[in-house]
Amino acid sequence: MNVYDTHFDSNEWFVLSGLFIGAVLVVLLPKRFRAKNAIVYYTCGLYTGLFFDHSLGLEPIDLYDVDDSSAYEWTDFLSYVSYGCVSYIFFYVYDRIGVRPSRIAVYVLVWALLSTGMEWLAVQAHVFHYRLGYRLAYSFLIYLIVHSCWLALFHWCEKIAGERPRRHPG
Amino acid sequence: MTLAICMFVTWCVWIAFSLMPKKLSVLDTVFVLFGGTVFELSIFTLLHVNLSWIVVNPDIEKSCANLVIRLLLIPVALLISTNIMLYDWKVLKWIVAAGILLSFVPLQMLQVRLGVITALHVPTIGMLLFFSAYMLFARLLAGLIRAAGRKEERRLS
Repeated sequence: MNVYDTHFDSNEWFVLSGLFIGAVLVVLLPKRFRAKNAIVYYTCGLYTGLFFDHSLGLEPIDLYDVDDSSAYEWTDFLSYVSYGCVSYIFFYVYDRIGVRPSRIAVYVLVWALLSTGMEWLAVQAHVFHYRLGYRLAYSFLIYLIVHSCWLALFHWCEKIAGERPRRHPG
Repeated sequence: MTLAICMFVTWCVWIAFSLMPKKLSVLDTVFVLFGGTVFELSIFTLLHVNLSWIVVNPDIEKSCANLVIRLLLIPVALLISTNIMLYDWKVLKWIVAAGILLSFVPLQMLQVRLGVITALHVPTIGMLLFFSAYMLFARLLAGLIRAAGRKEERRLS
């Protein structure tokens, strides 16, 4: 097991502050979706983070470790919870600004760049520890795929449920 | 061959799920799938990485077979058990749910036999407890999202 540090330092503060900012945004944003939709959109980010960290971050691939060691820690779980805030805001903004079909690729690109930037900050804060030649550029590709899948999920949920998210003024 | 066998078993579980009458709506299903996977993966990682109670073979094919079981089979099996626990049957649903729970034992044995899991330091009763916790958690999630939907409908009407 790889251990990088054992102190409460930059990576824990980064995760906690990210979670705080994300949670405040999710709570303060005017309600836009039905309760069930909102719950699914939030859980989507949590699931995606865990899915990739447990497929790419564990054997046999094991391309990176998260936080202080390769073990599963409480800060790892909190970081997944903060991914939930990111996915909720992703869907919220998408629906709020009413992205036209011709601009979906641009929206995905902007969010992939934003996510890559956030990951770069996380690497500087020692949240992620890359191994075996893994590079930030590879994450950019993953974000493009993930965000495209998220939008597919968004439209699929709406289509199957046969409802548009309830819109509120503002 | 290991990967093919695990994928075959997974496919059979998917077929069972696609054929069964469902009590959960699509959104409920997606939520239970996401939430159930998060819980199951978290527990598995604690057992595997932190405690080393389960040792997965580092070989590429066998590790991928384990990923197939963890990411594609068990979450769908949890969806099946959740749907069954929501049926109107009184006693039969608990018998079927117990059957699903017991089916996880041969699944673990299959993984050990195929060399996917090289060491299993959890007794069978312990594994049954973990899998029953997954099933109960998935059922709890289903109750939670259904209650959220009902509450909102009442508020809107």
